[in-house]
Amino acid sequence: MRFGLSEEQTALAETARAWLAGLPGPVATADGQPYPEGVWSRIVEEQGWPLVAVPVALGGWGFGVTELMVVFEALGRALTPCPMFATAAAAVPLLVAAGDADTIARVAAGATATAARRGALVDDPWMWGATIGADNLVSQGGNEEDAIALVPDGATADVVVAIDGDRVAVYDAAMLTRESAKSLDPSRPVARVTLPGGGGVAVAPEALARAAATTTVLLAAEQVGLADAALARTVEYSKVRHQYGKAIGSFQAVQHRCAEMLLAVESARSAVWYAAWAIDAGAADMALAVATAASMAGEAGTWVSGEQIQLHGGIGFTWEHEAHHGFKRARANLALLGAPHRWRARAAAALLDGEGAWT
Amino acid sequence: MDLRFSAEDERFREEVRDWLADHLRGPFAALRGRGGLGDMDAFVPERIAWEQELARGGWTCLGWPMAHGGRGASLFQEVIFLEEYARARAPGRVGHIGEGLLGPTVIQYGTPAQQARFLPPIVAGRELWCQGYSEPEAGSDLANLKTRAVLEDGQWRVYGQKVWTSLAGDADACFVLARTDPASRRHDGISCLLVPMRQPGVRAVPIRQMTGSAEFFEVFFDGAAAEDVVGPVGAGWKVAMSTLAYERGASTLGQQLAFLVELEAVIGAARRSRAATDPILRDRIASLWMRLQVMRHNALRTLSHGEMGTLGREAFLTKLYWATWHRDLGELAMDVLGDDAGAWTEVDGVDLHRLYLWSRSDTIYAGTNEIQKNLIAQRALGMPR
Repeated sequence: MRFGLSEEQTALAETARAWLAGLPGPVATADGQPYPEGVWSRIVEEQGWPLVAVPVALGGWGFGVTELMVVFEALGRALTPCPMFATAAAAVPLLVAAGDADTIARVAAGATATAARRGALVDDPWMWGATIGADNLVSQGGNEEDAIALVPDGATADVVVAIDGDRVAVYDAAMLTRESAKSLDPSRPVARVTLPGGGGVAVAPEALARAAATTTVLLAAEQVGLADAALARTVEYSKVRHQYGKAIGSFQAVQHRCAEMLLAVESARSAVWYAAWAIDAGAADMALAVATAASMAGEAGTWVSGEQIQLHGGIGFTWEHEAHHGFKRARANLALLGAPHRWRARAAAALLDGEGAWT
Repeated sequence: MDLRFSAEDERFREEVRDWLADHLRGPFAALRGRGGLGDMDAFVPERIAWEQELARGGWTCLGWPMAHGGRGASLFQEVIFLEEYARARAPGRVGHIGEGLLGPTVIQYGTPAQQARFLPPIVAGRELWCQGYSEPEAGSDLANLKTRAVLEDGQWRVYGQKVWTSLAGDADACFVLARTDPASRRHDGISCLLVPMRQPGVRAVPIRQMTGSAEFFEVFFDGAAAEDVVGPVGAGWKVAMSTLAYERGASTLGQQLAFLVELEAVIGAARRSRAATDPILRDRIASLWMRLQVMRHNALRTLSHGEMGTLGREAFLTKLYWATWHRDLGELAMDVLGDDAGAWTEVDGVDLHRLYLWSRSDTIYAGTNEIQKNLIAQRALGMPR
């Protein structure tokens, strides 16, 4: 029994954190520029992160979701401008579920990918909102068969993986109609991508469920990382900012808010660690564990990054200060994760109505 | 991450479960679910007998070293015991203050003679202890205590008043923090005295709480003779602080299961009423359920850190977390009852009104939520005083 990272996972976390500190931060893309040159190739060549949780048989490293989760927490902390989320958290788990070794090999060689859901959903209550292109983001395009989804990295990714019911289709992005949108989070561009109907291969519901759970937990881990960074930044600022002749961090009004932020961050972290373990271990309560992680990390990220702005006062509202990067990412992540109250509604169905997939 | 108990631990769990099933019957069957928080004054003589029954089975003082009569159980075995104890709805312990607070203090600071005198009766459930720390003017600010002890003809005698002392009416003895150096201030000049309760200079007066029950006492000392002093005279503050630190986090997991029993009763009440179709109540039920799962995860994280001899930031959150959770459960219970909340209601053996009223104390005793937030900010986050 041990609820905590192993020595290897701790080392991975420290390495990722230190290594990312040497890469550009979110400021570099703050004016709508594309991802800085060279960041993605360094991630692929020096770290190989997109392949961490890919089985060896499909050309990956064969580690678990827990290892990749550790990397995503570090990415959330640094907000490194790169297509890691769309490629490694959204697309690759679906490619693994579909057994698509060829496309995984393209990613290994430096291609970027993203994922979107079109139209009908798998008949599994917890798939709702768990993947990109949640129901409220999908709308009908000009062609009756087409659907338009708001997709992270939709305009720049080389490959788009689409889920339609239990089918997974892989498209060369150049063949799709893509229209950049003004992203809430400038450090992660979004585009409206038109997804044609039909095609793809059928994938077992369990494999799709696992892929969706993986995407959700990795996004939740990013949320924990950015919340933790926002809290640390706020605490440091409270020690150096003086008003009325005192560090503002000595005021109880500030201390109590920070204490509540720590409660939110560490609780979300526990929930995310447990959910990652539940996926890796194939635990019976995986669906509820993922819902708990999504709900708690979703809220912790938006709330803590918002408190960060409030506690920084005026400086936190400026473009120059870094507080807004995490604030915007947190809300953009929530749009992808699905609203916390919807995750709770699914949990309530299991607790009160005894709906099978959940118990 | 490895969240499975070892085969040895699972065997231990079986043993605990079987023993409780075999012994929590006959005269003890009526004690199921009784004597917990908010109900600590119920069935006290019967619970003392149960304490001795536990002792005969070797289930008291599990985590103490074997040399002192304990079982030398691992932290996770303690967790397992407490989980099974809560699952069986075994009665609230009466020996927990001796087992959890005074005993470990005597093991750390006591002389061999003191250990031989005080530890065996705790292990056997024959001597019950109460804790004399809080005073009317020393609640959160414990160092403001005014109770004093005076050496009269070689005998320490205690004068003053303690308050919020649980079990004082039934305890055999009290460990009292008192000022032994009249010239001292704040943390200096305090000692930890062991005072028998059944003597003329001690008077325990019950405090009736808003729950209607009287689980706590005011204790008045007027020249009561102390039997002994644990730790050096004048070092009582250090002794008291380490007493408060003995809680290794295992009890949170037993408590988590007891909370689950309560939450399940609230869910049961919701299922049998219109509350189960109210979207806002459904959201709150799911939220409390999720937070309770995370209470367990946080506790396991704290324990895992403890086993490695490290202290994680999450350890500082324990009290604030469970107290706030339990108060929210009390509110939810009333809202689920809806129109029926106006009358005391028991559901699946859980008294929801006692829970509701009691939970108002959770965020106050053992460090108020406000004090907890100060501690978290200053100790876990390093914010300036």
